[in-house]
Amino acid sequence: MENNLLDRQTEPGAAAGKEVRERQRKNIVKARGLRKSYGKLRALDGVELNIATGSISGLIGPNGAGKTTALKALLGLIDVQGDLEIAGMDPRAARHRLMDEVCFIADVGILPCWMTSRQLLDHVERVHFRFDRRRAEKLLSTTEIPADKRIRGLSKGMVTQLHLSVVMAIDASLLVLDEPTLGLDIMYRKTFYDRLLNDYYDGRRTIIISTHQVEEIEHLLTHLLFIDKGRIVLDLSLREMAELYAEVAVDPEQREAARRLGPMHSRELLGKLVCIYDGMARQQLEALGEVRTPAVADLFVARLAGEKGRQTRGNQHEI
Amino acid sequence: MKSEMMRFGALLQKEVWEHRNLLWITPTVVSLMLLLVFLLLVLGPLQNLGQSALLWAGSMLGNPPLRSAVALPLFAAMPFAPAMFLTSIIYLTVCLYQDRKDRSFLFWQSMPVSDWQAVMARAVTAVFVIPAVFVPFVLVCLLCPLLYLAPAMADAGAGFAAGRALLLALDASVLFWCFTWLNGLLMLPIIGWFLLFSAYSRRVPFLWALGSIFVLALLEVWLLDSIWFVYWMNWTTRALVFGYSDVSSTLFSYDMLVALILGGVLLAGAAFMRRFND
Repeated sequence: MENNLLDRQTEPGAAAGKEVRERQRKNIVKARGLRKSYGKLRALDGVELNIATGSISGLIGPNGAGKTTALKALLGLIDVQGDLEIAGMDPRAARHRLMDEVCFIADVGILPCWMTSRQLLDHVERVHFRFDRRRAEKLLSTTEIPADKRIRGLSKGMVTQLHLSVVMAIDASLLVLDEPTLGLDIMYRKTFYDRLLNDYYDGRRTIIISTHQVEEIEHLLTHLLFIDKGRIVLDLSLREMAELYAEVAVDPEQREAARRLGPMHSRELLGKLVCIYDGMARQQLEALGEVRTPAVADLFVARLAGEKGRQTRGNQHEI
Repeated sequence: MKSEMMRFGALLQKEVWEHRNLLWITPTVVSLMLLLVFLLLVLGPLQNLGQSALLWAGSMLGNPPLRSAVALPLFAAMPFAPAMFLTSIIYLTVCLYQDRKDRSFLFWQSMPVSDWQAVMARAVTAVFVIPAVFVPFVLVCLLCPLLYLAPAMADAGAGFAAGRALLLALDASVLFWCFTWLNGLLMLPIIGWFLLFSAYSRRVPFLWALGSIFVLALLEVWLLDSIWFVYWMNWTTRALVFGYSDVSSTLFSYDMLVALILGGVLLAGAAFMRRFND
């Protein structure tokens, strides 16, 4: 699946190849030194972001890391300091014009419960000129959502399906999803991402997903963004991740050798030492045991543990 | 331009959908009460009182008693004005607050609609749409008694008066709508004020909006030793019930200019608050 996605993004065919390569050189999101504070809390502390057109980026971070604040800043929903350009516009000055190009589903943003799904389509059709009603109705016909039932009477899964159908029928360049499957059961979560990938993503559109359920979106992503304490601590493509990072299930007799190579993170798993290395040659690591590309969740833990370790050492030096 | 008008029309329609209970139930209740009172006065145990009321209404208009039959329904339409005022105030208090309360705010923000358009749609709903919803109810309450009285009036040789009364009812309904939107423009500062607090308040927006009016009035008395604010509020709300003697002079008056400027500033404040109140 990962390869297919990378192919969709990077090998679109000879005819459109030049156009797509040109577009890929452009970044749909450009952010420099974004800062936002709530009282004494620094929610964004100089965020630097460049997100390429046509990518699917995962914004991953622990609770309170600044994910939602960063996404709100990109959407022009809060005022931030710094340079910001989304699809060629400054969202702080032109949020409503930006919404012609950008769609989003927020974790706490729910559809108006007093509307029926038919009224919702009627309204969006007249307000959003890039909305394709027939496409929305086609998408909804594959669900069990009744047209004339109020949204307050639908299950959470149905509401999410309805929201996704509306968003997928809008011809936008950028889709921002902030914990879109929060509170859904596994069936709905799987359906949500399958539809997103099969019916929406075409290599032209850019998607940013923020979620805690990293394992579920790992196969979708082309890029990774780790955020912690209001700063981007890792920004790379999945290809770069596979080249830079390696996880080794160390053979028992190689434990000392593995430690001497200075892994960025290590843990015990089923009696085996598992180490993650940064920037080491694969041939060198293969002598230690079984080598594979780390899962995003494991890299995330390793990276954040490394950050904490650096900070602790820094504090000790200051003391 | 056409597409922007269509977008704005969709915003007005959304307001009518969202607040349908408030917009339809209030005039329905007032209409039913008025028609019940009419039936009691004409057919029921209050017939004597009805006769006295007709004579009083006729004397107020300086007409003979028989023709005064047309006066009672016109007076009967008066309760619609304060009912509409109350409906508008409740609507203005909840309309922006509701988006945050039911957590649909971010969905509305995901649409290509500016905060200014969103606030203006609410103001236009209060000034023009709510009166337009009330007008058919006013007309029904005027026509029902007149249609009931018309045969009796014709038998008594006052057929011309009956016909004129029916035309008067239509005229009164149109005038009602004109007075109410004219009054709505004059009350634009109050509309802006309530929208400002609807966008600002985290809870009980009605108390915030009303409480701050009282505080302002008290501060004026205390600091400036004047009651201009109270006088202005009283003048504006009195006009709501009693109307104006001259529509054009009210429309192009100094008071209207002040109301539009002050109202515009407060509406801009409401748009700003909706945008940045995170």
